[in-house]
Amino acid sequence: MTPTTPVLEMTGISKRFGAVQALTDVNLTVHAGEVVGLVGDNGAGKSTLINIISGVHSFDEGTIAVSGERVSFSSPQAAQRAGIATVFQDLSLCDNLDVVANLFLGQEFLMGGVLDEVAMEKKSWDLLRSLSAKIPSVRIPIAALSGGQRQTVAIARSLLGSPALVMLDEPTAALGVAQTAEVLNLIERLREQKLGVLLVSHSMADVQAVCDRIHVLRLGKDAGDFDGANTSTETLISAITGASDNVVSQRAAKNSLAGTERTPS
Amino acid sequence: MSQDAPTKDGLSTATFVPAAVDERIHAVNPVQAFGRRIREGQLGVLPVIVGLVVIVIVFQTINGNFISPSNLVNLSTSVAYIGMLALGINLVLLLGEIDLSLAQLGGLSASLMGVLLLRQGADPWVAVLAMFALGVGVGFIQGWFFAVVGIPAFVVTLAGLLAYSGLTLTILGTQKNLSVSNTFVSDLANFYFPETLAYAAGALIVIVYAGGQVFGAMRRQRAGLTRPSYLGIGIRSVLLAAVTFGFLAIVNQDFGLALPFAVLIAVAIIIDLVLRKTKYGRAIYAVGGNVEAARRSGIRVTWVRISVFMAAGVIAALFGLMKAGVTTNAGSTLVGTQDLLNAIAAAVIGGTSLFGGRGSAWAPILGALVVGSINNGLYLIGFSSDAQQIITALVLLAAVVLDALSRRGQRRSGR
Ligand SMILES: Nc1ncnc2c1ncn2[C@@H]1O[C@H](COP(=O)(O)OP(=O)(O)O)[C@@H](O)[C@H]1O
Ligand SMILES: [Mg+2]
Repeated sequence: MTPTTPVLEMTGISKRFGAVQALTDVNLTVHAGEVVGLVGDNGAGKSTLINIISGVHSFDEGTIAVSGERVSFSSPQAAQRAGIATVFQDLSLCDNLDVVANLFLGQEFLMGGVLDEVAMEKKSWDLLRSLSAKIPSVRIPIAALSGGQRQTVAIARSLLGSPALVMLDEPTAALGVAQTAEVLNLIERLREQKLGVLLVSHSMADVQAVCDRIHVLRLGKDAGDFDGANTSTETLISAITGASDNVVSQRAAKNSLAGTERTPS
Repeated sequence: MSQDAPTKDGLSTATFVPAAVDERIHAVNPVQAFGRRIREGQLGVLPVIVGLVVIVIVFQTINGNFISPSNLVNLSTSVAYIGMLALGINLVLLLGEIDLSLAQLGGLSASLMGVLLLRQGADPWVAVLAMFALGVGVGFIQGWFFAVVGIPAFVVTLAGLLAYSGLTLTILGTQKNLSVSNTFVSDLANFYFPETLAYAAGALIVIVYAGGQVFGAMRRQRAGLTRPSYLGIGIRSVLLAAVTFGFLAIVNQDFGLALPFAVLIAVAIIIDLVLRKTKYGRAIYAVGGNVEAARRSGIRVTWVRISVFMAAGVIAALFGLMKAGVTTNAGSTLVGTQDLLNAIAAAVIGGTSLFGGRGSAWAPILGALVVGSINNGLYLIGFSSDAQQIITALVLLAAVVLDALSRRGQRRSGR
C-alpha cells in the first residue's frame, strides 16, 4: 500500500441491469503514476465498470472516491470536470476535420467570438510534443492518419482537461505491431506525467508489457489483482476463466511447454 | 479563399515542426506530394478552377461573344440565382444531408410575395418580410421533422417539394401567371452599381483579404508556428485582384456590377466567415463528419441541424426573390426541377462532398460559375435547353465520381 491517496478508489461496487447482475462487490484502486490493466472475458463487466466510472451509468451499491473525495457522477461531463478522461473504443474523432479541430472540438479557444486557430495550434503542438507523438502535421485531416496516430490524437484530446485519471478502452485492438508499441509508449508517457491510467485490453502481452498491476474480473466479480511484471500468462488466463484445468489454460500450458513456471493463483 | 475548413488558409502545406515529425514525411518531394494530394482528393479548388478556365477558353474560341461585356453581365445575374440556391443546398450537404425542396420553397415564397404585393396591395416590406418568414418557418418545420422526429431528410424534403409546388398553385389561384416587372423586385434585380463604387468594393475585398492573410501570418510567426510564405500570399492576392478587377472592367463597359451578383458574393463571404471562423461553423463540419463524436463533444446536434435547415430556408427565399426579379416572373413557372439540379450540381462540382463534412462556401459559387457558363455558352452556340440539361447532368456525374473517388482515396491513404 502506498501512503498517498489513490486517484481512484472503488469499494464494493455492484450494478444490476434488470435480471443481469453485471457487477458484484468490485474493489479497484488506481494510484497516480500507476498503470492498472483491467482484463476479463467477454461479458465480465469491464465496459460496465468503465461506464460507471465515466458517469455513463449509475451504480447500485458501493462507493467511488476520486482523489479521496466521494463522488457519484450523473453525466460524462461531470466525470470529466472531476478529472476523469475516457478514450472510448471508437475514438469519437471526425475524419473530415484536422488534428487541431479534433483536439479542441466543443472546447475551442475563442478570441473575440472568433476561433483562435493560432493559440489552438500552439497548444496542440505542446500537447503532442509532451507525448513525443509522431504526427506529421496538425493541419491534415484525421482521415489521413494511421490507426496509431488516431489513437494518439484521441488520447491527447482526453488530456486537454488536465485529468487525474485516463481510462482507455481497448486502445490497441485494431492496431498493428508497430502502432501498438507506439500506443504502449504513449501510456508510459502518461505514467511519467503522474497520471493514473486504467487500461482495458484483451491482449495479455500488452497488459503485461505496460501495467504495474493487473485487475481481473470474472462474471462481474473480482478475480484477483496481480503484479504486472511478474505474472505469467497462464496465471492470468486461469484467473480470467476461473479454472486451471480448462481448454484455454491447457492450450496455453501446452504451447509454452516447459517455458515459464506456473504460479498457482 | 480557402477550400476546405479542415485545412485552413493554405497552412495545410508544409506545416511541419521538427520536434514531432514523422521522418518519412520529409523524404517526399513536392512532385510526389502533389501526386499524393491528387490521389487523396486534397486538391481543393484547383480542379474546378482549371475546368472553368477550359470552359471559358473553349466557348470564347467557338463564339467570340462569350466574354463580351453584355454577355458577362447576363451571365453574372443568372449565376447569381443559381449560386444563391446552391449556397443553401451547400449548407445542408455539409451536414451530410440533402434538401430537395429548396427550389420549390424559393418559388413558393416568390409567389407569396408577388400575390401579397400585386393582388393584396401589401407594402413591399411586408411582402418581403412574409417571404423570408415563410423560408425560416418552413426550414424550421423540415429541420424539426428530420432532427427531432428522425425522418430522413430526403423523405421530409421530397414531401416538401411536392407540397410547395401544390401550395404555389393554390395561392396563385386561377391565374397562374404573375409578372413582377415594374415592381421593386425587378428594380432591385436590375440595379447596377456605379463604376467607382464597384471598383471601390473590389479594392476593399482585395485589401481586406491580403491584409487578413498577412496579419494571420504575422500572428503565427509571433506564436512560433510555421507561417505561410509571403510570396504565396502575394501571388494569391494578385490573382484575386486580377480576377476581381478584370471582371469589373469588362462588366463596367456594359451595365456594370449587378446587385444580385454583389449580394451573392456578400452572402458567400458571410457564410465563409461563419463556417471557418466560428464555433458554430466548426460544429456544422463536425456533425457532417461524425455525429456521434460531435454529440460526445457537447455539440447540440439537434439545434445545429434545425438551424442549418432554417438558414437554407432563408437562402431559398432570397433565391426566389432574385430569380423573380431577374426573370420578372413570380408565377408557377418560376422554378422547375432544373433549378434544384443545377444547384446541387454547382455545390458538388465546386467540391462539396455529398457524404457530408467536406466543402466550403466557395464551392457553390465556383460550381455555379461552371454550370452558368456551360448553359450560357451552349445557348450562345445555339444548343437547345435539352442539350444544356444533358451536358450539365454529365458534368454533375463527373463531379460526383470525383467526390466518391477522393473519398476512397482518403480512406486508403492511412499511413
Ligand atoms: N446497458 C445494459 N443493459 C443490460 N445489460 C447490460 C448492459 N450493459 C452490459 N450489460 C450486461 O452486463 C454484463 C457485462 O457486460 P460488459 O460490461 O459489456 O462486459 P465486457 O465489457 O467485460 O465484455 C453482460 O452480461 C452484459 O450483457
Ligand atoms: Mg466490453
